[in-house]
Amino acid sequence: MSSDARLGLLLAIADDELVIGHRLSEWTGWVPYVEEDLAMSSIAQDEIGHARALYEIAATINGGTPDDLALGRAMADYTHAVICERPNRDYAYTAARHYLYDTADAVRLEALTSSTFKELAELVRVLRIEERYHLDHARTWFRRLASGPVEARQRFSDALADALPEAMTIFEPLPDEDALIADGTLPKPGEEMLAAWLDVVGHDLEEVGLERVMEADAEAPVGEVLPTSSGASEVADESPRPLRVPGLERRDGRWVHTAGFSGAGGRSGHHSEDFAPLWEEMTALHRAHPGARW
Amino acid sequence: MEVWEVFSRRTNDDPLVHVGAVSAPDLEMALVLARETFFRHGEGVDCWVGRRGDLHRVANPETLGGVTDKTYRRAEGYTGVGAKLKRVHSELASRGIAIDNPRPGR
Repeated sequence: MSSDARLGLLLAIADDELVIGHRLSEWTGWVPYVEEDLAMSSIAQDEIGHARALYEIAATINGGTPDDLALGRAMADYTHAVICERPNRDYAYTAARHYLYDTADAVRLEALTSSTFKELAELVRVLRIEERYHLDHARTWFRRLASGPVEARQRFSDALADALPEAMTIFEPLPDEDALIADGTLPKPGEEMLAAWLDVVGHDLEEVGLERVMEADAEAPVGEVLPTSSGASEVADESPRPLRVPGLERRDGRWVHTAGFSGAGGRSGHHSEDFAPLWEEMTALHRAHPGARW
Repeated sequence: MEVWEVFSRRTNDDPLVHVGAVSAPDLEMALVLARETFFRHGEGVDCWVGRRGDLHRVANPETLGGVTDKTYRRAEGYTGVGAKLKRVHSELASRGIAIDNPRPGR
């Protein structure tokens, strides 16, 4: 196994955790009530802590430090899924993405417990203990908002429909996926994990009568993210591949991913304009004062 | 018979703390029995009872506080922060830089 492929896997997951943790941390002090503020802030810290643990393993492969990996890379070297960098918008979108991300993360982590990459499998077993609370928290809000007053249900299901197509890219295949599968580092291909996750989400949505969320994304644009206006061209794909056909289909009572991703490219370092300001803020101190210690 | 949890305030300034439980067939009897079970030496100035079945345990209490490194959440991780902050502010001021109040991203 080339250690590069393993490094790529670690960074993809760590970047997901770091970037979504950073986004969630933006709520600290601003959540509508203090108990939820604490809970969401703890989850943000957990995600960043999990990123750190993954960067620590990655650092043993590439010889750098966890800080350099987390904060010392160019924008196009981050390989998180684009969904993680999207702004929080309102609490409906935040809760919807939190639910979609953490259910997806649960599927991924469960698969990785049987990885042949021993250090990763051991770490994942610890991370899953904390992720269990994230799932409880996400699902509690999911049920509460889905069965809430009309406005809550409407805003939450709109937010789920908005977030779902891009959330699927959490399972966008890694560039080295074949090599990772071949030696058992990655026990399941992205598509297989995606199918398992669609089952979970589809079931949860049907339970609250919100199947429409799964149907809505058939019209979502499919393809890689392409920054549209000024400023972020360095993260754009210089030669964008043609848009592919969607997406999700219902077959024999199950939701099936047929082809293509909306908002894809994150795993290859292609990001939306939303990532630039996040990266600027997140890495500002590290860039201004390399090696600074608190 | 049901079990009733009993809570006490030692003085009017103290928080309510759990002191034990009594068995009683109903609320009225629980209140009567809790007094003499836990307060006959003047142990407290306030007494509350609640049906044990109305209390609920969190899931997975063994993971309270997390299982990965959370030392950054403890106060001792931040000793000297006030002094550092002052130093940073005066350093920034000497360079004519101000930090705006950060707001959540939109």
